[in-house]
Amino acid sequence: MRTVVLKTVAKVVVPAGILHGLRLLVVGHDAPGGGFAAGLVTALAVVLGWLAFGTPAGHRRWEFGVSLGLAIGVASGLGAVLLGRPFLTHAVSFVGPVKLVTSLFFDVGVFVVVVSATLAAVRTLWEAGS
Amino acid sequence: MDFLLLGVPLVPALAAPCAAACRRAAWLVALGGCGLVLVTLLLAAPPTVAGLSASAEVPWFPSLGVSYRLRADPLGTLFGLLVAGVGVLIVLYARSYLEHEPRQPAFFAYLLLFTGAMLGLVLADDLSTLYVFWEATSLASFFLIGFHDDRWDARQAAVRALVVTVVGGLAMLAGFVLLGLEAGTFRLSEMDPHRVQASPRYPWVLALVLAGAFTKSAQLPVHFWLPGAMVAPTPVSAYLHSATMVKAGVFLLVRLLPVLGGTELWRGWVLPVGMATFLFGAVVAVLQDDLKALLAYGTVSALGLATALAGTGTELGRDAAVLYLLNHAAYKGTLFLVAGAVEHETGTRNIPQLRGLARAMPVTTALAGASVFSLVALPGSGGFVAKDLAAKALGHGLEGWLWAGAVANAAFGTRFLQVFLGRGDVTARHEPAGLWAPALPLAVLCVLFGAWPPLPEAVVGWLGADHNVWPKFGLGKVAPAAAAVVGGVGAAWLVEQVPGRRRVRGWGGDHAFDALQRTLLRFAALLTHFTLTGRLRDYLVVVLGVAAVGAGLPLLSHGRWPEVGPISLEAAFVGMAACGVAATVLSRSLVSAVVALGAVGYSVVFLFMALRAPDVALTQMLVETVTLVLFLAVVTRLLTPDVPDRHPLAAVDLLAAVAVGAVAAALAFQATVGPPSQRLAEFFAEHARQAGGSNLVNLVLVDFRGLDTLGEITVLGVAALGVLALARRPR
Amino acid sequence: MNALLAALVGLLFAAGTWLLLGQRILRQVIGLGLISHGANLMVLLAGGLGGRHAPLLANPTPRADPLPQALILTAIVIGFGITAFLLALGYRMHALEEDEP
Repeated sequence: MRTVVLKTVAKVVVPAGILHGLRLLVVGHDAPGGGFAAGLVTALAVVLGWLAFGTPAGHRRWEFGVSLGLAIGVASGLGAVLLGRPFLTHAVSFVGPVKLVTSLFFDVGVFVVVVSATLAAVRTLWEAGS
Repeated sequence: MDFLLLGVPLVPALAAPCAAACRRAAWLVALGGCGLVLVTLLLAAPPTVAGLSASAEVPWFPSLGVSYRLRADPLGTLFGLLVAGVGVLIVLYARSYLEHEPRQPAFFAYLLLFTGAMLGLVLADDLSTLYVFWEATSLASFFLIGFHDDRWDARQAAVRALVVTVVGGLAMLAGFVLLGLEAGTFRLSEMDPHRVQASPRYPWVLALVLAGAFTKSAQLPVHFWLPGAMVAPTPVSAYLHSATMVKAGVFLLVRLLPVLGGTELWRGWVLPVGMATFLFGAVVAVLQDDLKALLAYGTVSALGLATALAGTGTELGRDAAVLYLLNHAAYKGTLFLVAGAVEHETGTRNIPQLRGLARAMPVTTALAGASVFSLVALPGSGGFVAKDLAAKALGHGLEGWLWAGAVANAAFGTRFLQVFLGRGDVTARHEPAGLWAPALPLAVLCVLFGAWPPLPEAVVGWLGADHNVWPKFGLGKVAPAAAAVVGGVGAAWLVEQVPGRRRVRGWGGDHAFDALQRTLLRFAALLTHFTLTGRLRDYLVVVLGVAAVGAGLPLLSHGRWPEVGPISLEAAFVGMAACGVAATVLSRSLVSAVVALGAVGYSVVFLFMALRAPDVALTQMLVETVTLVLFLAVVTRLLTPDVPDRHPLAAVDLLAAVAVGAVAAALAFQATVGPPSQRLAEFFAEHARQAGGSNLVNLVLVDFRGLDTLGEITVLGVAALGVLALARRPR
Repeated sequence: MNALLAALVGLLFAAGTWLLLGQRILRQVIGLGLISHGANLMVLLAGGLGGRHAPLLANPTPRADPLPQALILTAIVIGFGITAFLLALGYRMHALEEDEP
């Protein structure tokens, strides 16, 4: 699998894919993208990296990633509760041309869950199948 | 101050886990819990005498008018005092009685749970509050009856009691809902009797509520659970199954008397059941050889009389029922505690074996004497006062039956006392104060009820009535009472001579109940055998078949059918997808099937793009890629050529597939018939400014329906954990 | 167009059912995948195809209804999770069968 071509391509595509995923995450509120798509793009980039350079040794704590993502998602909604608004009410404000929106934190939670779950499934089934 | 009231049922309930956590001091926690409640109720009692009923509520389901609402009215406070007061005595008694029981903390925890539930029941002013506490008492009773859970008979008795009372409770719940709807409110204190009784559903309400009351108070023919419950430790029998919980049914009748009572229907249903139970229980009690069984049937009988009194539907009947219940709690509670002491010290409850205990247990004997005095209703006893009022309330037609019951009462009272008289082989070791002191206040109450006129008058006056309670001791009343006692002693002597009386057991429905239970289990096994074949295919055929038929039938009658229109760009993608589907189904090799599935997925991606769903298309494309990776990872492992792909019933499968497909197509088409609505699109566009984004799909996901998305990532996370658990290599 | 899409939905459901009723776990998972495609398309159809543009505020009206799209997006990701889980389940069953010949 690990041909020179793949490695060369991966050197460029993997970082670009991860960056592209993060971009999709940030712009998701206004353009196509969002936590799901961003997470899947990032996960695919990482999988490509695994294909090209091999999987890093050691035991990965995927459960931690999944729980972390869920915790971020829940935490992003708790702020509103502290202020007496319904759970998961988000706030938005503009500082000049820059938009600040708390729902981004929620999407980050989605992103983390999707990345962790996808990588967990691919890696586990891969190792099980080989 | 009123809000303190809300805590009354909660204090014992909260003390329960503390009691379970403490080892030695569990009884102290229980004592503290009951005592605190007793003091609170004593403080709350004086205003209710003046007619001021404190009430407090916390909304529960405001939209349905349901709330946690308590009200300290005279009736509720009176019963609350009874529950808390007897509770204190029982805790003290149980400490000595269960001295060597390793699970004592658990016992006190259950007892506290029960006390809390019972207090909530008597103080509830909202039907739903009442129902919740009602079932909580059943549950606590279940745990206490089955306390010796290593014994089959204890477990079975607990199950019987639970099933009977909970089935009755469920009927009662239906009755409560109907009652609340008919009355327009769930608040007991605000119900209008005329409105309820004029309703055409009144008979239903009455029948369903009575089902709850009768099962709880062990009326014929479901009385059998109460004698069965005697396998519980004796403090439980004294507390739940004679002094408090079993009175809940009669309490409910008295509580609802102003709303549901006073009609011909009420009288016609409640009175006969009560009288029949009264006579049946009294007669069967005489025939028992077990001390506790004798008392248990005596309780059934007493509950029958109280039910009959409530069944008169009059205020006099209500007061007679309450007075009778209080008096019964005092003397029957004492008798149970005495029976427990006898069993504790001699190791048996068998009446024929026990004789002459008076010598070793003088105080216990005196207590038994005082309470039997009240039981047989001799003039000067509380029983006499209560029975006299009962006779007044029942009227002339039923006096004969009442007298017959009194003879039977006297007979089983005599049999109980026999244990202390004469000489016997079984000797008691000694008489610890812990087993008689707690019964003392109850016995004193028995005596006071009959000897001190202000006490019963105060009780009745508290309930708001002004009729004369104190009987006139004329010859016309004393003579029948004395005659009943003489007759009773004679009957007891006769019973002792009957050789076959030991066979008189299980008088009632417990065998029928067990048979019904067995039949149900067998039916369930049969049903399981037919429906749960263990083959996925069978389930799928049923599920899909039902879905196809259920959705297809209405389509046949109401559906519209498509007209052929012009072919557009999307048609090409549809064609691509169709080819992919065909390849997926027809391909021989698994790998090519997987690849064909991917082709279908990418065609669908194009369709989504064409149908103006860019977010969906993007996600679908990415997921399709990852799924392909996953499939290819395991496909080599899962190649199992030796498994036959089709079984002989392939035709059924084909039929199911075609049916499901046809119905799905028809359903999908029906969904598009009619003008497309722009309402939702406009709604989201309008409110998008608030959320500050412009990608509407993402706004729906994170802002409008964030909770759904949170649930979704939870599912995804759980699925990932499932994958890890199933397929991860062991370290 | 609606009729054509509806026919595709029917085809996806029929093929999925056929595979689901078979005996091999992997084909069953594939069948489930086909059925989820069908269900997603059905939801999209139920939302109506009246929109001329993607549901972005920058686009002019009439825009497509965003709610079915959000529902489908959710369904796609959950479907992915289920597929992964079923594959792991199939692997596990297979491994157990290998252990006990």
